[in-house]
Amino acid sequence: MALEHFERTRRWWPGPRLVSLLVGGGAAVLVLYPVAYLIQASLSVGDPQARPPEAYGLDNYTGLGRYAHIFGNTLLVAVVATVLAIVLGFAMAWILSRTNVPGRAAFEQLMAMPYYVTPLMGALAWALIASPNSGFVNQAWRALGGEGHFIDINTPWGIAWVMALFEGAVAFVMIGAVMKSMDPALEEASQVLGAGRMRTMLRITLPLVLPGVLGATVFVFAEMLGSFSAALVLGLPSRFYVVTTAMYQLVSQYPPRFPTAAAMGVVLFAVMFAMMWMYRRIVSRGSYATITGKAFRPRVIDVGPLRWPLLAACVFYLGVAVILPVLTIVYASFQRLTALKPKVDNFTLANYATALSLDAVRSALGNSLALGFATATIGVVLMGFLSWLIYRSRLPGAGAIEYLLMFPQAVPRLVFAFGMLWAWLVFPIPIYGTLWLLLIVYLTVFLPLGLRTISGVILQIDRSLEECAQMCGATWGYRLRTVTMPLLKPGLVAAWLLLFIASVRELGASILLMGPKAKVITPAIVEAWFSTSSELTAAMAVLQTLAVAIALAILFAVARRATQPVGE
Amino acid sequence: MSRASIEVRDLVVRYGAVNAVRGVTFTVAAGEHLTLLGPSGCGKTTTLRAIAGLERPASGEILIGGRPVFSSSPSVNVPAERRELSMVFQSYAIWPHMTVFDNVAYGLRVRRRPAAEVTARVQEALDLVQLGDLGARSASKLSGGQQQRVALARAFVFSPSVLLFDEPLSNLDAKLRAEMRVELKELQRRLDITSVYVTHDLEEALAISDRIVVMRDGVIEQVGTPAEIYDRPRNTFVADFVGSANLIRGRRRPDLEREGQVVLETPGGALVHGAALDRQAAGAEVLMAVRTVHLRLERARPAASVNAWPARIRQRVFQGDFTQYHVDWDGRRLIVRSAASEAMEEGDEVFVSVEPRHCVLIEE
Repeated sequence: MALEHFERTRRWWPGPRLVSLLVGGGAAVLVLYPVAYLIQASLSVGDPQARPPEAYGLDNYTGLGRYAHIFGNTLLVAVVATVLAIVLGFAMAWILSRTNVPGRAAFEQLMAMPYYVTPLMGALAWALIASPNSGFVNQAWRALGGEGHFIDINTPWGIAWVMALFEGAVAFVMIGAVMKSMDPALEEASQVLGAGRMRTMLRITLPLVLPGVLGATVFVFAEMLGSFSAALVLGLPSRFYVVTTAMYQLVSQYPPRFPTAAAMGVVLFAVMFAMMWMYRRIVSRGSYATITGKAFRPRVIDVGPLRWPLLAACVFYLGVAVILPVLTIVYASFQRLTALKPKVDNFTLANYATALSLDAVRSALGNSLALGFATATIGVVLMGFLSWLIYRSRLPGAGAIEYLLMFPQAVPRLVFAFGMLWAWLVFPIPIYGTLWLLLIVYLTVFLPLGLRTISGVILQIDRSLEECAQMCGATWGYRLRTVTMPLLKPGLVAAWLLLFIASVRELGASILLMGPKAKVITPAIVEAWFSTSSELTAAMAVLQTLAVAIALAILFAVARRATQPVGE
Repeated sequence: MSRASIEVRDLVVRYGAVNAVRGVTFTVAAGEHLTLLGPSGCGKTTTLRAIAGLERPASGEILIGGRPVFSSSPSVNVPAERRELSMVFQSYAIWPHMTVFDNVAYGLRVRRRPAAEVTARVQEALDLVQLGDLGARSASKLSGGQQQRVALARAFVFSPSVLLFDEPLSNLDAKLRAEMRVELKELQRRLDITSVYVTHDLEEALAISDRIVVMRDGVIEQVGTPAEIYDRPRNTFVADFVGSANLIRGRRRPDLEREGQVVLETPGGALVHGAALDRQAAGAEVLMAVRTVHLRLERARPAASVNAWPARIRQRVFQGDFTQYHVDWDGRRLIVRSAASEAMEEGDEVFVSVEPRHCVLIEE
């Protein structure tokens, strides 16, 4: 009798094979369905508007030769920006982890800031600072008697500059992690054996951090290839296109040329996929034994009086990447007509009044916050469950599922959205043009972000903490409630915040997929930039940031009140 | 407290293509303290986790208190939380988000005991591990030794029928480890509980077990009491793993053997008398194990008629509690550990001797 009882309870759970099939299948639909449609569209050679395609062929690819200059532009911007970002990131990582520059700890905290100033904010701000006609710098140049303009941000160099300031923070994090995980004894051994400081640097330090730097380079380069917002804001006025902005143009012009855009997207996707594959290989193989999972206290080099110029370099980077852009946007948002020289009667609150009175802005802001809330909440539950399945449940095929879910990392969001556009137009449930579609898209494109954040915490929690609860007799649900969830809380909160912020600021996918009756805020800001005044746009950008900050403050206050009795 | 016996039959555990445990069979009597001993990767922890229910075996049978908790045919697999066991983890697995009291109370609260009983029993358990006044402290603010005690209290507070230990002392420093070993033994006696203990530390195994199972590469090499394992290792692996031993190879000399004795002749012509035990030595070539601590070094020829040979000190290594000598004997090197205060010098001509009962016939 007892035997029967056990046998029955054993079958409560579906077999692990079934679970992995279901999860893998679900992920495949979410991730691969749009990609399949993208490829289908790129092979359509009949009437470009016809769905499904009337005829298939490779004409769209062979026809891409006409757009060779666009691929050239993309490469130029990506290479320049990557080199600049890696140099910035490497320099900052070295200064902040290996030298005795004053205020290192504070600077390290501040290095997250450039990441929160999105490329869009950076581009808007730098357009105000350095556009050829009205940019502050060029206003000053002419006031000082110069001719024409001193610098022009509406060039490939300008786009690369703005992108590099943003990606520099990403490179800093990646390279800094490698530098910190290097055992200082490796360098000390070299010196003890008689090698000088220079020789040690060249023969020991550099080769050891090289795989990490190479990995960061490939990663940043891939991101640059798919970047959209800075190229849109800064490139459009001078008709300078990269692949993503050209795709956007082809889709939004009349008549739209979907198949050509799709072919471009597939090429970009293929290149980025190859890059991401290379990145994974470099990271998984190349790091020798520098990464032992052990945190070392890196050996700090006394740079003497050189630390003041190095300090200046840190201040400069944060200045041009964070302080200057933010101040510029805030300043412009309070101006009637942006001028370099502040005049009392030029200050106004009218931009904010206008922005808040526009129904489009109000509803877009509301939609974005609601979407952000939904994406973050559903995302945390979904991605928490997926992370647990992948990293904890020993599911057969967990590695393949992880690979699949990380897939959106290798697809530019605009390209992904393009696939979605086609995929969901034919979907039997009419969600196209509604916020529901955006919710699905956000949940899909932010899968890698959420998974990485949550899995980082899951992997830190020793498996025995859960097993011990099991040994104490706790059932699955009880364990989850008393041990797993409380331990995961910091990671889940972090993931929720990241998903919320990322959703409210999303541009690449939203700009293609939002419907006329369901607008969201970031594309609305871009529209305002091209169709109204830059001062109004600045006010909208500030409002967006404020709305995010206020929403988070309220949520924290509510959450704290709700959890207080438990915490006491 | 209820005590339960454990039976493990033909247990096989696979990780992917790797067979971590390859057909292991042993029993633990109710109230017995059994230790699984072996080097890392021998399958001892995997076996323990299979008993706990944390690892799903590929085949075999596990019975606790006569009740099958795992069986490959008919298919039975009772989840870990319903096996009524408890376990102390190598990492202690102290929940950092709870107080010491909450950690210890966990198993009782899972079983929905009334609050008054929970308080009383947790206090009793904390007193037993000498942490009586630390209940309110946050578990993340404990030293390694204190965490160890909390883990212990948490494991036995709800009166499980069996306690499992997964290398519980391996994260402590040597001095604390020796102290805890004694306390653990005392605790085991007071709780009067069945326990299965996993370790790679010989001293630990010898100190706290009623019986030891020595494992290697997923199979059992020998089962016996601590004294049996130490004094009569079955083969070269056990002899070497369980303390240091000299292995002496030679040809059997049945002509010189008397009742219960075995005599072998080394290639250099020395005769070694040993205990036959009940083992059958196959063939003429045999192997003997002699513990390094059982060999004696003397300046004068000992009175014993057998097992006394001239030798020469090659090297002396002072190690505190004992001195290790490397001795040239019979064309080879012997290792002798001696606590004797009289120091022999390198190069000294000496006599090395050993009682026949300490020379044990073993398998390859």
